[in-house]
Amino acid sequence: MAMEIDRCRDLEEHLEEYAVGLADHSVGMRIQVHLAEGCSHCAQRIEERMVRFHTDVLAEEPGFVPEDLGEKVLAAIASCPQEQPEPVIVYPESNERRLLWILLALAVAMVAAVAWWASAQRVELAAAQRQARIFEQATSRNAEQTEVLQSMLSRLTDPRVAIVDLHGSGESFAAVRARVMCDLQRAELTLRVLSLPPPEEGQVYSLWLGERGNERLLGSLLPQIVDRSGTSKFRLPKDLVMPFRLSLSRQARSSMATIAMADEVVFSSTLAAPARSLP
Amino acid sequence: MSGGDREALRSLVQSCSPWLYPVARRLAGGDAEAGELLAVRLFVEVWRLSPCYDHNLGPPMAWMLLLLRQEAGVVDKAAPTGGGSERRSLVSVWFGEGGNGDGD
Repeated sequence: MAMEIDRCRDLEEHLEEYAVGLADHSVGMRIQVHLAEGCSHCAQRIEERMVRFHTDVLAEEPGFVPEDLGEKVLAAIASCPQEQPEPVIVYPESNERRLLWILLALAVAMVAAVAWWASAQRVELAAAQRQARIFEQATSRNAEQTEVLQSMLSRLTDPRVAIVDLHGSGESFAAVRARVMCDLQRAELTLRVLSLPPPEEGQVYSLWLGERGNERLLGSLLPQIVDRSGTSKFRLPKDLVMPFRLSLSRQARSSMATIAMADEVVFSSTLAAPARSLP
Repeated sequence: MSGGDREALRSLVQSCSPWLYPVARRLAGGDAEAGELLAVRLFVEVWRLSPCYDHNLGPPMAWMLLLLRQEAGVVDKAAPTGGGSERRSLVSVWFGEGGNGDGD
């Protein structure tokens, strides 16, 4: 049976009944347990009530007692065995209770410490995951750049790829340097231009293929720049054969129908098949 | 006494009966013979239950008075109803409103 531990204020109203023997059995048990815990305050209250009780219910002076009362009592107990006490429930004393509180506090502190450690571990794990993602992205970017470099290197050494270096024409484009790599097998043209002046508002650089009057627009230059080195890639017609003429012009965005309307030509050159033989 | 010491019981009877016997007689309605019988039954019960009594758990007089009430069969009668100014006196609770008894 679960038994709650009473405090002084829980038993205050029953102390008087207990002191004069009028308390219910269950209340008496609660008070006895409370006193067994060492409550001097309630013990003193009971003692005070006992003194008042003697002057209230009990007579002030000892009364008359039949002379043979003691003998009758002794005769009556001759065949009366004594009860054996039941096991006493021992509640923890103050020191033991303090130890229990300390153990409880230690347990709570331990749980808090474990929770804090787990939280710190989660934070560290999240940071490590972030670093891993950054490293993975950097590795992926490096792999892409390596692939681009390998592609460029393979083209530089591939005899099937025509590589032509060009200079800008006129005063406006005298400083312009361009390298054209033309890979007909992949139908791909790579153009790298350095020192190209930025176009004015409404103007674009256009790359043209073919002779003047029969030219085809390959595309605008700047939107095709794929990296910061000024490299652009263009798709070539499948049926293109060398030699062919390649021109870069600066003209208004609205007049891109023909190179004839170009304001200025950056360069114009004929690309021929490489003289190197296939391996 | 809890170890079966009869002389201890005799000593207890001699010391406590001058206080308890008058109460027993009042509980018995003033009848001296019935009061004596009630007192004997009380001390027999004290003897029987003495191994179970722990003096640290409460005053012995209160315990014996509780046993006396049980022996007199008045345990289930009205008990004090908690604190307050309207609480009846212990005398009236024990012996009735008028304090009926032998008039000691």
